[in-house]
Amino acid sequence: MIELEWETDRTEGVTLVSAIVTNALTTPQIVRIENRVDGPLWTPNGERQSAPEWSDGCWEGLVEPNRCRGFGFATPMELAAVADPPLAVTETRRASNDRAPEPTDVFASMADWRPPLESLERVR
Amino acid sequence: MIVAVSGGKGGVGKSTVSLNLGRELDAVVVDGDLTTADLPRGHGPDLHDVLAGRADPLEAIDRHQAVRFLPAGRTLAGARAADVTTLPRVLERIERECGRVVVDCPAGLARDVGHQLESAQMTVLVTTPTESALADALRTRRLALDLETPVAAVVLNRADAAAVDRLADRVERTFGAPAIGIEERSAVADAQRRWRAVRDVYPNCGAVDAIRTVARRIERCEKRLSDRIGVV
Repeated sequence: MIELEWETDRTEGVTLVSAIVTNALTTPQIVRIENRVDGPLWTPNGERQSAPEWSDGCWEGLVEPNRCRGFGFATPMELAAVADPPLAVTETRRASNDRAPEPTDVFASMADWRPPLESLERVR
Repeated sequence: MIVAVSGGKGGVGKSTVSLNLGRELDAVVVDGDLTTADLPRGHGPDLHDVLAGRADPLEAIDRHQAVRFLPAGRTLAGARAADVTTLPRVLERIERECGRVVVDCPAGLARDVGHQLESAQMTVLVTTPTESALADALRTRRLALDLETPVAAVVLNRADAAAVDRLADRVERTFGAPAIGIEERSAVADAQRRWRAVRDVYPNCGAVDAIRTVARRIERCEKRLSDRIGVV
């Protein structure tokens, strides 16, 4: 199950929205989260380069099993004008297996170590 | 820092590179080949004894001229009694006490190599410029990356300048690491026969510069790692 928690905070004329997305499933998931704020959206890293996980007002990122990830954005909108909830999970899909496997899986796939036959000739 | 010198195929020169890198980096060279040792034998206990819990890793470290070694055992009974799963702990202990460790990995891709690669912070792949050796090196690279051990450099061993020119670009692209060529020279083989670093026997040999380039590359990776996580 994918869980989403958020918090909003107003400081110096800026509303900050911070969220934590948790993957309680046993497989890695790519989660897409839409923002519901009707107004300017300030994602991390400013204007020159936007955070890689943000595009078109949506956050999309990989969450490993039993892990959580945090993200957030800011907006000049008043707290009262920010939609509640400000974020919504719109899509989750299982990530492909194209990533580093666990060491135990790697070892399980390897041949057991034992002295090879040719070592008999090397015994001195 | 623990550096694994690996490459998959036997006879490509992993032990030569290990010994010379050990000299250049002032590291303890661990002969990780538990059945067909390629580095000199010591005078006291060996890696078999350490992996069987019969000896302390530090008392098994020997010195041959300018290089410190942890020799491998020479008996089949010793190889059978060795518990390879304790290898990471042994290597980390030596690293803590002695600083740098260079592990000369055996050929093949069995679990002993897996434990060595998993313990290491980085690996140097050694290959000759032949298709079969390059294919084995690629398989080793895949394993290293699966175990999250990055490749610091690819050594094209016994490659003449023309082969290095022809292959270096492609190797760098395929392996995602700098390729450094070491030419075939009788001086390198002769120094290895005497278990000595090329630098100590033939300081003017071109291979000395090549080894130094690999060592500098490892030191840069080491520095980047320590800058990032604070310790190596």
